[in-house]
Amino acid sequence: MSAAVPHPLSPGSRAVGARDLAWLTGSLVLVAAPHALRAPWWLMLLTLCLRG
Amino acid sequence: MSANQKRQPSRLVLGVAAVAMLGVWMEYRTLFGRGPGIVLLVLFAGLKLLETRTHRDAAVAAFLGYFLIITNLLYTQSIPTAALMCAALFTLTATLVGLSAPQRGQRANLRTAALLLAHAAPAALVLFLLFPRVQGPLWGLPQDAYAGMTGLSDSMAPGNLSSLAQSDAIAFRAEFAGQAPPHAQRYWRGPVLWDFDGRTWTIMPAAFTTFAPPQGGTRYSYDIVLEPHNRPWLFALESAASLPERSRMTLDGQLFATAPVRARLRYQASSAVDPAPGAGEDARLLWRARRLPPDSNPRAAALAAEWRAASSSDAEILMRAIAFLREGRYTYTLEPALLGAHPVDDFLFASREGFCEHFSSAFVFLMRAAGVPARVVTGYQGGDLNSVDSIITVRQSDAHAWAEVFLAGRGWVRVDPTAAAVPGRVDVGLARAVPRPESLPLMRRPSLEWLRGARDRWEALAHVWNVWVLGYNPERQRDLMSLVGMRDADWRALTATLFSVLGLMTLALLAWSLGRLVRPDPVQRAWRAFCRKLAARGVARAPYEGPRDYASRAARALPASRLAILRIGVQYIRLRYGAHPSRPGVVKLRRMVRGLRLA
Repeated sequence: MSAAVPHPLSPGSRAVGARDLAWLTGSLVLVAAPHALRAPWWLMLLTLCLRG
Repeated sequence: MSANQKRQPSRLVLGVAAVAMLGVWMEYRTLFGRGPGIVLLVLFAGLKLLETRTHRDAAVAAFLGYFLIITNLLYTQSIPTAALMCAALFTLTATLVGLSAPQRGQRANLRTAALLLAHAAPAALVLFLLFPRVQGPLWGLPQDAYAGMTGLSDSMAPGNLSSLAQSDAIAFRAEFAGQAPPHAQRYWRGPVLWDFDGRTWTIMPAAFTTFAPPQGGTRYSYDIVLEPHNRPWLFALESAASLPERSRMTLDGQLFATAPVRARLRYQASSAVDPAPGAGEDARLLWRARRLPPDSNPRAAALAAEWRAASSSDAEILMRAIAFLREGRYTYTLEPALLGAHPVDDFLFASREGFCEHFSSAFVFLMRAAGVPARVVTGYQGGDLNSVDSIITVRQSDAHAWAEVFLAGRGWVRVDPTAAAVPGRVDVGLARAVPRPESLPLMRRPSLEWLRGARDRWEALAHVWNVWVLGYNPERQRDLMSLVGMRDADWRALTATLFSVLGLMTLALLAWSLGRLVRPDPVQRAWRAFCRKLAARGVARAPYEGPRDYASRAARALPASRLAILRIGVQYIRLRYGAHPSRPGVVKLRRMVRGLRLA
């Protein structure tokens, strides 16, 4: 039995656009900002390097 | 993409996750608990962003963001944090809306997100008001959450209070039922220190007594909102005339809660200022109140012995000590000189500068050395009247130490040696008593008077937030429920009410949605009216007929109204299938349909 082919418009197939990615990143930055002030400095450096 | 083609996390992401987890473990020595747990979550959210390619990935990261919103409230529940988290909630919701409708304009997505949250707000409010409350904070915080709390300690050494006095943090706020006592009479009693080792004063083990209210004096009733300080002490104007709920009183007149205060606590209290003389005292306590370490501070001890020899009563010794401090030209400072092995001697005869702990410590030492029972009382003195809500705010910078002396026939008498030496400290407050304002907390400096109004407004708002939002406890919930006729509502009644109200809200929302479905929008209504008019003239629309074809056929069938019919068709198509139906366009369509006269 062959695996079902997902619909081309299913969430797992649709590529996320630059606009949505920017909104998501901004939202997560808002959420993580207070934690960033408390987190160890090396973790922030690591996160910034990864994003860079 | 087939199931076996599912994208696996890249080696880079797995490697970074492993390194980060190792780093978190090395930093915290555990991966569990509030700090390391949240750091890991933040890190994983960042890593999820790295591998986000599809809408599904983005939705997962957004839901992780929702969870991270809650984690911020484990640290602080202040107004700025709540506002920031509301903003994050909005942007995350807008992100999810954007993922569902990628073709729509961002403004429309933002409007939808706002509408969704507005729909959820009444349910959130009902849950907040009716969800059965438990005593204590809603969030159970781990032990490390209390490590950084500031406040008075159970011991006092030179320098303790002066370092505490440099903090502008709020200790508690007091709301008086009527007129508040003047600044000079606002002594908020805290730990009483009995034992002295030559340098440090410490409390004695708490021994509780049956509460007996003081007689006479001026009575004051007030509510206190105490900030958490991780100690069981409650503060009240001396002497407490009633016991707050769930509290006890020690032999030395201090109020104790049943557990350390780890969440903001509101309690009612009343006090008597300048009460009638108290009764006698237990002989063991009086012995304790005369005890001094041997060979400590010999010069001060010799001076006290002289006073004893020259005085006929304890009251006379007391007056001599006050006169000695008043005439000694002592300087009041937040940055006193370091003291040696005999700190009382050094302060009284060498440095001659100190903070209230130096004055009270030296005074009690002198009294004890002269054979007069005395003890140190720590607490707060004064507090600022907020010009906005008329509530007195007492800060850590109001921390103070004074003395109590036992006099036969009068009981324990409060004496403030700092006030004797530096009268301004008690009359006008710390800010004007300290000669160098640079050492004061920023907002206490006289030069920044203009900023104080803004701070008063902010603190009044924060007080309302603390009392009505964060301080919404079982008692407040019961009071609110009794206002709507539910007396003594227990958790079952609250739960039943909660589900009833939520059910009614859901039904109302359902009815509204169905109404929208049944009742077509204005464009559709106008079009149907147009179709009815044409049908009355024998040109009924066939079920398969689109608006353009129908308008063309009707125009041919009714040539006298041809132009009007075609224009209505075009206007309907523009509104129905265009990007955004404009309000004037809808009005125009309705007017055209209403004005259509078919011959």
